Amino acid sequence: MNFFTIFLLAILCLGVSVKAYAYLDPGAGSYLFQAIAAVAIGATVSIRLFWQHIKIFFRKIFRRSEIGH
Amino acid sequence: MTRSMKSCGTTTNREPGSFRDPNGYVFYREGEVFRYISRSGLNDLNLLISSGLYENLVHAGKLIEFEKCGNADIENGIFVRAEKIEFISYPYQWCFNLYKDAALLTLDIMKAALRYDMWLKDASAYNIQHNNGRLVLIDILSFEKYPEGKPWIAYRQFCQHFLVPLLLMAKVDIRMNNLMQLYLDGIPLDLAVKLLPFKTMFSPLYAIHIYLHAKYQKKYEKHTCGSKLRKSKLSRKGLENMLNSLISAVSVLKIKNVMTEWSDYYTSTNYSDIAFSEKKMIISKFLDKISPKRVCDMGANNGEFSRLEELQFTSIIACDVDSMAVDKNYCHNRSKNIKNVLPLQLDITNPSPAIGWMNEERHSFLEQCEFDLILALALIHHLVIANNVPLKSCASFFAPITEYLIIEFIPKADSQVQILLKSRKDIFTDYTESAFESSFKEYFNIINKRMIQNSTRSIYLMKKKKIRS
Repeated sequence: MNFFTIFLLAILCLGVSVKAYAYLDPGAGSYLFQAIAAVAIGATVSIRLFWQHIKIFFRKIFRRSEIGH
Repeated sequence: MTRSMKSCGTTTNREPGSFRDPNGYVFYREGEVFRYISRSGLNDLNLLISSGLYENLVHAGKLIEFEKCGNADIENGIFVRAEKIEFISYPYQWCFNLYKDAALLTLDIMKAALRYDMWLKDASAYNIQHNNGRLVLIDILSFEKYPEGKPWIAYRQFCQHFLVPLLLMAKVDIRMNNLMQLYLDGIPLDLAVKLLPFKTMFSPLYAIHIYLHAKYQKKYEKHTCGSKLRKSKLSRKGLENMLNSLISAVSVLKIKNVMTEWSDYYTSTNYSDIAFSEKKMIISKFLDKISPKRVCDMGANNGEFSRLEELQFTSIIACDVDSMAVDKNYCHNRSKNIKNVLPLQLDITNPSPAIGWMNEERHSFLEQCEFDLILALALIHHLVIANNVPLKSCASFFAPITEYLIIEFIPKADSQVQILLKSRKDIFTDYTESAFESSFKEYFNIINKRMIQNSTRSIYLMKKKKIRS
């Protein structure tokens, strides 16, 4: 990556500082929705984890009773 | 089609599809691919390189390699030379598993970028290409500094370009990616909601990324919500969780192993084992004489003949109309690490057209066709008998796009032709071997012809005639 390092240094030496432009329209609905999506995803993950705990809890109980018999 | 500009005595052709991002564009000069990066794109390029992300991704084979050319001219931008992609393919030509790999690569790159405080500012499926057996991101301008706490600007694009087409392919029909040809910026979510089976709604992942997402899009489609947009927040952790859930949503998708018309072709063909190996041997001998570099296997089915030993050092486009056969070809090559074959879904009787702005943004299939050799095995009867294409028209189709042609002629007596004729009147009085030869002799010289033992078929090696000036 030598060529790029040299090139990078050249640019840094010249002190570039220009504004970049976002060209893509994110879509208002899609952009705002992500906060809701993150909450919903978090909730889904929590429910899944909670469900797994319940399954493990009952599995342990049944195993114990099987051993007892 | 590219627009020519004369500069310094050499012709520069700007890629007509490269105009949306003000930070730069792609152009071609003397067979090489270059990218111009404007002043406004240099900060992000600096960060991409100085952060180590560029090296990381190139080293992992996930990003195409670029090299600087010319002098760094900060006022007017800079130029970089890009590694050339042998054949630019589009999402509507991809099979399911190639499409899925492209989606996962995009998310993988996005996650990697976040670790370097950058992200992808776009998630276009057109930015992913097949290069020497791997999928790579071809756009270095897709990276920008991660604005901490902001929602992902390319979330809508990712859903429309990747998640929706894949979901439709998996849940509705494997051919649904053809919709990408109609919708240049991805399949709209509201359309996906109408097309998907009702039960998809009960999967939490799709309920969020498709159904609720579509509702929100509808809700805000006519609102001016500038201040809301500016205030909108999504923590880094929230964004990472969302990316992980998109990875899960894509990873769990599978296509049903349905039997399509041609997906089982080579096990249900009328070839005997002897005839099949004889066919392979004849083609191998023809290939020894011509050593092609760029090959197109038209009607490749699952790619049996694209994988002949004599073709292992050539670049091959293996196209077929049957999506399932193309997918089998892709999965086989991926598992065996076969790098030189790109399987594409394509109807030769209706090749994908040039689309987009001014019909120039995405090239037509034929525009990109410039082959040393075309393999047209068990194809001619489909063109002539199933699609009523005259023999002369078939010959004139092949002539401009290849130097050599290995073509199989299948006479009417063959059982496969009889199947095509069983439901229709035989109007193909001129479909004979002699008419086939005379039609092709207008454009090609027949170098060799071999009958396949234990069959009614013949294979020809032809070379294009030189045009007299």
